[in-house]
Amino acid sequence: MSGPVWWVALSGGVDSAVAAAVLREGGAQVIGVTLDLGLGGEAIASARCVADAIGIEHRVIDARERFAEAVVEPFALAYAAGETPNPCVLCNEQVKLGLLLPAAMEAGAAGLASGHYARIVGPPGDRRIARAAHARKDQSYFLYRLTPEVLEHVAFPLGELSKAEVRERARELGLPVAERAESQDVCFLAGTTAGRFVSARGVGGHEPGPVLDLEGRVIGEHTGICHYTPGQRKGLPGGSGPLFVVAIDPARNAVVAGPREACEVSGVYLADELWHGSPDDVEAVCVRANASAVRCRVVRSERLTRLELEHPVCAAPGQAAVCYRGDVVIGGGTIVRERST
Amino acid sequence: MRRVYLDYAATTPVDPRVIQATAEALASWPGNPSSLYAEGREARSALELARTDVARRIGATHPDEVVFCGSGTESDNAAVLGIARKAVAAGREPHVVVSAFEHHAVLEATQVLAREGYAVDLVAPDVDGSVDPAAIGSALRERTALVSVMHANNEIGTVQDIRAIAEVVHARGAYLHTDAAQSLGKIDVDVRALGCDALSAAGHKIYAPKGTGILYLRKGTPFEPLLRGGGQEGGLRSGTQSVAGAVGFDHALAIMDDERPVEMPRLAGLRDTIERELAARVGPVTVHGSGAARLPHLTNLGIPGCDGQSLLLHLDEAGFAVSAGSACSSGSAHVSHVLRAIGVDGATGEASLRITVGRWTTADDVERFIEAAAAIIDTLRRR
Repeated sequence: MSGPVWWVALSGGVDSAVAAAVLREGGAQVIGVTLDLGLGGEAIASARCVADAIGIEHRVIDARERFAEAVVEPFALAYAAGETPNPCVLCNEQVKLGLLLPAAMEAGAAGLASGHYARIVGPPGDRRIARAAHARKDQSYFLYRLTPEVLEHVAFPLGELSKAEVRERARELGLPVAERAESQDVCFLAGTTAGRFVSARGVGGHEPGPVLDLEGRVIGEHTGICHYTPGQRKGLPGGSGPLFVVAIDPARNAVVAGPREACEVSGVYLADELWHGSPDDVEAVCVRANASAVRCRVVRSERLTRLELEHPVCAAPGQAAVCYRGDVVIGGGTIVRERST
Repeated sequence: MRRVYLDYAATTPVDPRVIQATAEALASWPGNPSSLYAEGREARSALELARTDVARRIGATHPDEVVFCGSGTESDNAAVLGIARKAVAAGREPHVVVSAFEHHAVLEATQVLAREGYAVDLVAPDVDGSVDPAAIGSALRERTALVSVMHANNEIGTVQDIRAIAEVVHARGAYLHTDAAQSLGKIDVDVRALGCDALSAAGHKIYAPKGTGILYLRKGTPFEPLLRGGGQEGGLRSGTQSVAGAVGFDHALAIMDDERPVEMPRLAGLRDTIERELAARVGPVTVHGSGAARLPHLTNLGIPGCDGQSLLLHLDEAGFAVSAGSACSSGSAHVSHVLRAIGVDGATGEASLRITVGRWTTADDVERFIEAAAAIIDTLRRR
């Protein structure tokens, strides 16, 4: 008997290559698929080399239009409006899974796997994303929008492995990527900063404007709100003490600066909420990638959901707030500007 | 307190997706698959679709080689009794050879043959839990009728080299049956690769409803049916078929196959964690069968210095369902025939615990189990 067909999202990097190899060792007929995101042929060529090295079929799927519409455009517009969006969250939901999974199922595959470091836990019909076994590499934050229905046919073969184990497996397999440095940046920024990327697109947010202190006095000039994100220190005028970006005020094209404590909030409001379980079960929230979770309580009214944090943290509008119970993702949403009371 | 089920080798809960497929089949095809009018033909068509898919999945050459039946035990009984009796009627010697650690469904069937005057030889596995094909060869007579060796053992999970055994058996013209109740869906089960003439499996080990099973009978294998009546299943198994049972079995097997590349490495990881961490907490434990190829989701541990039944009952009280030996022989405090067959005599004062993980088991469950088991073992040893 020949094994079930599994599609593996092959990026050209070491993680997805090892994910493919793990599934193949498990008896699957693996087909490597790479999305053409319109970012040049390098990643696709690299993925093709990987597929050749492990001896699997390789396909390229055109995702340029979907990627531009669902990820890049919203990213630029949000930055121009003074927010700090997380494009990887959107991409996982809308493109990597949103486009590939239906294509895989349509083609008769048993499921779709990727090289993400996360686990899927829970019984069939109620599967949830959970943190990877090795927390340092955990990518569950970026996957919080995947629903139990989607997870029914998805696998993350690296969820139990450490990065070192993955590199070791890659070396054993003789994969050409074993020594390659890993990429952490947003793929479509290609070395530039988000600010420069957004101002080059001319969608707004790039006009210079005032830097205000907490009392609303002008204390300097900024180079365009798209270059700033709450909590950051860079690009602010000198003062009596270190200054941080406290908030961005798109209505006045202003950056508000103040001491570190002023950046921190005791709660955040959510938009685009998505719950896989009861919000009452939530124990803690991550308000940005790679941040440690803060204990919190979910307070919901008819029109608003607010996360009350156990201690204040810096949280940027546009980032995802991902809620956990233990290691399991319960749900979350996009952080929106705190309502003035 | 939430209970943690760690006895998937005893039985599996029915997967909700299988429940749905089975329920839909119950509602959709009320007819008798043997009836000639539309209701019957529709039911028959659903039944044959399930048969064709199961046949393809186990590598059968023709769908008719798959017989749906009522349980793994029925399948084992039918194979052992049916093949031996028909082969003997056709001139083979009334002699059967089985491994000493077969399931009771096979062993008891050979006892029926023994009462009919057959010679029955039991071949012991080695201390690792492997049945040596050469040992089977030595037990064979010139015209032995049937050999039955299980694909994977239900208590210690060791996987047998059925292909090599088939070569030895077929060289003498005898027939080979294998009980694949524990292996189907967990490892590759392909009747052509295994080379067996007959194979048995049960639905309730693969998240399908209890009361379902299959018997694979390679074309040309002599077989005298166990159940007589209306001649259903090509005359091989009379009794109106459970269309929903067949659909559920097929659906469950499809899920096992689809998820195996992902699920089995995960389960093997959980199993390895149990073996490693328990030894780290309570000192040396014996992993029965660890010297042989094993199923990924099963471990059978010998834990020195405590009693198996006490350990099982304390674990039950703490919320954990595990087995001391196999479920079929538990309730009796003596060492199981499987462990005795691999040389565990009970005199060493070891508790033996069979732990099997499955589709619902999480890393957290395993962690809690290790905590609880270590504490209980510690308490029992102090007594």
